[in-house]
Amino acid sequence: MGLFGLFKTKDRDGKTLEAKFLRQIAFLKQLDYFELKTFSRLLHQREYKPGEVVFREGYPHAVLYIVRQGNIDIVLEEGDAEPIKLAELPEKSFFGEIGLFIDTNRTATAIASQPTILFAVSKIDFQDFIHKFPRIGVKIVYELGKRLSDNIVETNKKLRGFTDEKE
Amino acid sequence: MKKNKVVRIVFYGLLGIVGILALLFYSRIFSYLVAGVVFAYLLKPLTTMLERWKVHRLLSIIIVYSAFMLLIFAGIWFLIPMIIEQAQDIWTSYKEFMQKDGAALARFQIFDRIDLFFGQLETKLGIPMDQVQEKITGFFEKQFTGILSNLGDLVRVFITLMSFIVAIPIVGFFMLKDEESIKSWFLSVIPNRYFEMTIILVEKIDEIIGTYIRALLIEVIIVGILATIVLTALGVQYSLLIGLIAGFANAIPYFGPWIGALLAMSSVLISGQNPIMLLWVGGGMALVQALDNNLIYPIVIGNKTEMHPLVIMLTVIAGGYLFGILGMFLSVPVLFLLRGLITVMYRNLKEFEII
Repeated sequence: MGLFGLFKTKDRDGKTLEAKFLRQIAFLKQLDYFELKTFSRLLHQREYKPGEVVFREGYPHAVLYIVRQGNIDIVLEEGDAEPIKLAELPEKSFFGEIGLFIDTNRTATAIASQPTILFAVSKIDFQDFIHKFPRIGVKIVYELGKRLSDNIVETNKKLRGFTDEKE
Repeated sequence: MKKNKVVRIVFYGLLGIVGILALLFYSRIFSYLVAGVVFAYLLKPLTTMLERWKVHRLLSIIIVYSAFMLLIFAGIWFLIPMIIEQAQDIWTSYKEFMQKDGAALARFQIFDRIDLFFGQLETKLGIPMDQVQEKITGFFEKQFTGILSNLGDLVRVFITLMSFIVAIPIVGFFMLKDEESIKSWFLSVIPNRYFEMTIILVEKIDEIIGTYIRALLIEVIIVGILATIVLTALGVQYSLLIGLIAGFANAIPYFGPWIGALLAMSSVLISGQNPIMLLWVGGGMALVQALDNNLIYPIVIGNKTEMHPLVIMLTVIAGGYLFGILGMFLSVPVLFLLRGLITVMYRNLKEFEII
């Protein structure tokens, strides 16, 4: 290791592992090693206890999360009633991407259902990154678009089932 | 359970003491840190641009630094001698003028004021030229008597100055290189409950400081160049020096432009040029201001800083009273920063249901 670790050429093990992990995330799988490394600099690691709230519905939308370890429940809270579980997000899934596209507050509540580690990326860092590296940005935005389209198809299906049931 | 509480209180007490001691210990280098951060903010757009072309960050910083050094050396080589020469010229001709015409013009109070102004400038800017000279000559005179104390003095001044000059680029270097890890480290100590809000706040501070510093620098450079061109074209003596000062002074809202214009006019008076020149110079400087207000300012700073002119003016005056020239420069940016911060903080504390 050189002066202040300035000239070290190899990554610490942690960083390499991070790159390996990140490649498994849907919207990052097209990125090469350099791009992943650059992206990994934006990550903040957060740890949550079971039952700890990541964010609540209505909070400002500032951060996108990737589940590194553990499990996140996305729920709708209606007053005192039992919360409705919308989705269960295991390792390698991500949430909070809607805020990248539209200015809205959180549309649901996220709660850790077991000890969970999340990677947080700030919305502004994310947008800066996309502008800074437009070619990577296109890949990421394309994958995110896919995911959102999938969601719409899924919702349409559910909605059809719902209306069929009614008839 | 009771035991735990005691330990906790002791631990946090110790932590607090260590924190306060650390603050005291590092208080002297606070200015280095601020200057280094400002330096980093100025160069960041350039390193970002290089990184965009997939140049490794370290290499980007080295390239930008080298270019910057080159610029500085070129500046020292070509401009500084000219500026110093002009500064010496202006000083001698001012003294001559005061001796020759001083008595006749003594009834114009303004010249007393100018004299006072120059005197104050010397002390306020902290460049006591006479003292420095005295110190150096005195040093050689006293070589054999008080060599140790004088040497100590000189060495201390030199070391302070050099460490400042050297420290700024180094601090700036690490700020540029490790921007994310510094941010990450800071955010890692924030509890989950406040994490998202802190990110929003940090980004707001970054935005306000970044835009302000860069915009100000661009404005200073453009106005400085414009003023120099106009003054040179009009044949005003010491145009380079005055243009430079006018550019910097322009960073002071409302009062700055007058400093530049008055300096230019004094130069005309001192060097005994035709008084009709005063009109031309006034008009020229007014033209520069018109360009700045209607073209440069709206483009580089824009209408982001909507605040009543009266508030800004009073803030500048208050800053000047408290901290002199530095206060006049910094009071308005600090006001903008605080206003932006408080607004964002209040809104987010509400939205995150913290207050």
